[in-house]
Amino acid sequence: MSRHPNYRKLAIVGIGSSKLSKDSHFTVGAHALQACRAAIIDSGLKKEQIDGVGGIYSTDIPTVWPAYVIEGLGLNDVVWSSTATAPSANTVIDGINAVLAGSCNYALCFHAKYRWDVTSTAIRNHPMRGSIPMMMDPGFSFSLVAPASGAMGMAGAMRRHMKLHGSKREHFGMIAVNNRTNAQQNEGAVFYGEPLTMDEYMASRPVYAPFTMLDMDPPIDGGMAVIVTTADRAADLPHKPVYIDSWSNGITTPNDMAFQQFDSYRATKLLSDTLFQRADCTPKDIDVANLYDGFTILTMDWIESTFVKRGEGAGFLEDSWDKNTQTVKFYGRVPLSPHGGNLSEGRVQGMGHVLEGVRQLRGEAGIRQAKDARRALVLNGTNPVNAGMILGAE
Amino acid sequence: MAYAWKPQLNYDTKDYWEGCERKELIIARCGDCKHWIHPPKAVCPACWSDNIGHEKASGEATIFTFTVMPPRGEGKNASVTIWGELAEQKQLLLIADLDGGYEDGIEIGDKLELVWVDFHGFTVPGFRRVTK
Repeated sequence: MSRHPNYRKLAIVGIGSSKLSKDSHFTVGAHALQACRAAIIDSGLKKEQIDGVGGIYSTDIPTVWPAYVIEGLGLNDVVWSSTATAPSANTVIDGINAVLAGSCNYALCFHAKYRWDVTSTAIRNHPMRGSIPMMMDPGFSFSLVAPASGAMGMAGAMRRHMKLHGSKREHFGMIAVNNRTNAQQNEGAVFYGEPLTMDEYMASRPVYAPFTMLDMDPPIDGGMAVIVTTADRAADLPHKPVYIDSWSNGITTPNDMAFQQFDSYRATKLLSDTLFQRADCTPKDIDVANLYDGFTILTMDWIESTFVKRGEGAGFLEDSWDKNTQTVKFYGRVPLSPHGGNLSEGRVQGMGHVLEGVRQLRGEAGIRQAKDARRALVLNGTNPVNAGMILGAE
Repeated sequence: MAYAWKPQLNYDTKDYWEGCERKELIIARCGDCKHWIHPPKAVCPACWSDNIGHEKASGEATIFTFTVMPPRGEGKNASVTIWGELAEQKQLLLIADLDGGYEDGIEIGDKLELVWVDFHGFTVPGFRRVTK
């Protein structure tokens, strides 16, 4: 194997987040602006230097497009702008490609999510949370079913995994409990201060059996952003650069979001394999593993495609489970989503996984800092929408 | 609760929905390589042909996977949404609810037959388990 020629050519130089919450008294636009402003300030750049803005626009409910941020922060030097499909790491990949191609020097990439009236029955009639009545149907398939949702497909995928590969609810519980335990060291998580036990997980109420509320990330108000530039430019900025060792998508067929949510492993394996090949390293070289957890079944897919093989995730989780700390440590060492993931921070669709990778590699993760962290694995999404990267530090 | 769902007809799905009205399961099928396509699309994913027709499928299926939703209200049964693998082709899936709701012993691999049910005034497919 040999490294991809773009290995460590680019770096993340700024990160920012709004305050995540279930009821923030801000709009989704405010969250986008607060996150992007924080990322620019963190990077040490002047606003005149921000010449690229990308965001996640295509998602399940209304969100914020780049023009809103460009206007809201008064950016008048933007020569690259683009939207990407969720998950969040996908807009970072767009920014990477734009900087690499020379379309811009500093790409600001953001995603903001909101607890709209349509995302939570608890706030169905909330006067400030009315969404524009549009549910995106990018594969033109949801309209063929009466009724259906992506979450139902995830439940079907989880049941099939349990039947075909012998996984049990306890295994998915290890993922949920690990993430919640870790979130007790992250004051920014919406579930900070609310630990979860395996007994509570096992007793939780099914939404779409076999999965429960605890297998699914909670809808929240929150925005997050990063700034990407070249490694050369990063050297002149205040923070220790966090390099991008490799990045990739991995999409295979069939992949219809309503009808065919069952072949994710082929896609996640394509993505994982590509990342390690391009970065010329192996899963054993990773120090932090931030694996997507919009649904616990997706974390299982990423574990299997990265560390073991299809059907071996449950056993690998048992080997990685530390009963004393109620956490997962791959190879007895590598933490799974030390920030608590989407399950605990809330649904910003994977941007928290990117931000935590950067914090860990800067050595700024505080009480949850992984020892000597040099490489962080960030995996987002599933088939048909995903994105991943290996981040590296010197 | 007001529910705005209705069939969304377009140039791909028209034959399917018109079939539902007649209580016939009409599935898109490539006229050249005979690959069944659902959800329907204008190009065959197997051979890239534009020659897409529509044929009546048997309605025989097995449970590929399913999910169970808790009962909505006192005395109501839990509902079950099934991904039924149609007999015509491997992993050709139709999504429909189990007619009558949850049944004990339901499992992946169970044989299914198609029934037609009313959903907010529209005829949509449903499944029934075939028990011997």
